[in-house]
Amino acid sequence: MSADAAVLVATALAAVGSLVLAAELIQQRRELRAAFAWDVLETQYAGLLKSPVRAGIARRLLDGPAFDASLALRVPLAIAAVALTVAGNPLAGLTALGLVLLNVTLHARLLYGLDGSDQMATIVWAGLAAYWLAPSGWAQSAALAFVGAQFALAYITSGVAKAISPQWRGGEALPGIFSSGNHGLGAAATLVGFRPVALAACWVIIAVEALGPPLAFLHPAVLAVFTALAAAFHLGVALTMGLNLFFWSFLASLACFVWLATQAHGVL
Amino acid sequence: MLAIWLLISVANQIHDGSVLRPLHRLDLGSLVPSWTFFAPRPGVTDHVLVYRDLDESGATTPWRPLTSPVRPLRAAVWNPGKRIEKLITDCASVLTGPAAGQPPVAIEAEYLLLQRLVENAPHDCRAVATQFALLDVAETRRQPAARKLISSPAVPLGAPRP
Repeated sequence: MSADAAVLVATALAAVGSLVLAAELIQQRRELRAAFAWDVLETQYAGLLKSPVRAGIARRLLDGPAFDASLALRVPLAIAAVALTVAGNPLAGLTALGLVLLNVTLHARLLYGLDGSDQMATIVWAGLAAYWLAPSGWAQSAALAFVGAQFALAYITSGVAKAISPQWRGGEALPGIFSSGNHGLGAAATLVGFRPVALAACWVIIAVEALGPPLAFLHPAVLAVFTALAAAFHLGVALTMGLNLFFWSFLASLACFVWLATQAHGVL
Repeated sequence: MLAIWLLISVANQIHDGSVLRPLHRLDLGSLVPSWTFFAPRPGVTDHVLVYRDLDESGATTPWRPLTSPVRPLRAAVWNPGKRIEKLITDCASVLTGPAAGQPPVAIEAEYLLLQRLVENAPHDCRAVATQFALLDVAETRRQPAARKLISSPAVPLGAPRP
């Protein structure tokens, strides 16, 4: 995969994720503002408690129409990022940087209720911003490698953490997760209710997560199989666990990982 | 800068981020990830916030959950409710985690956020106060078994907020 193709695929996938995120946040903006009560959350910032002026500015920026506008701003930025990337226009870097700042602002405003998909989206947009704003081809490669390395780090860390877990090694983790309300699904719970299926599924996940990224560096065929498995895995996670935004942000980072592994194939 | 970001991210994966814990409060944008995902202890229970209303005579309504205990299938594509569910889980983790006081102190931000969620929920028209409890529910989709983690005293409705 060429760098241009990786950037285009990553941008398109991350943009769809940003649009879904924006739509979800806009639809829930009143509920979110009430639930994530700023008069409670601002107490978490020592700097705001000491300065009424700063507290007033923060309140205006993070708890009023300005914050609602920041939610909506994702839509034109995400669309512009794709259009500018297709056109090969370096201004795509500024739109990506804008989306990074919006994600950071969202985290600073909500403090709770966010997850790894939000973090990976920020990483992808930061890498894409650095790619377009980089002064040299080497720096552009480093920016893509950063996103690909974060994808590999996520998979390997998650796989190792599962490998040291008795519940995952023993096959009890998936039946437990799938029988929960927040991250479960009746049909999936029934399927992994059969112990051999649960045990096999847990070990396949451990193996793919922990060994997939390093093995994908060795051969293009392994990379192709791993890419297909990872895409299917995130589709399955969305369907069974309702973690819809992981699909978009992790597949966007997967595109950069595929580019990174392809570079390694030329060296190894 | 990206190289430093990556190195810090790698360091944060060691011992569940304990190496960099003193720096976590500085990471306002949550830029440093923790990629363990449902491991080593998978989340197999649901944190459910339930509440009931009290009228002037002290009579109570039945307990009811603040959010639906079971996620719809469309959440695979469209899941706006996950933020508030995750807020409840995050607050529960802080209030009942290893660093939590015994019993949880009602002036903790996480406790106040749960209280605010309940205050903003629909209430019985005769309600003068409400009460909430945080439950840990196992096997939600099979045979639910709930364990109470926290319960609040009666919270007057319409009272001035702190």
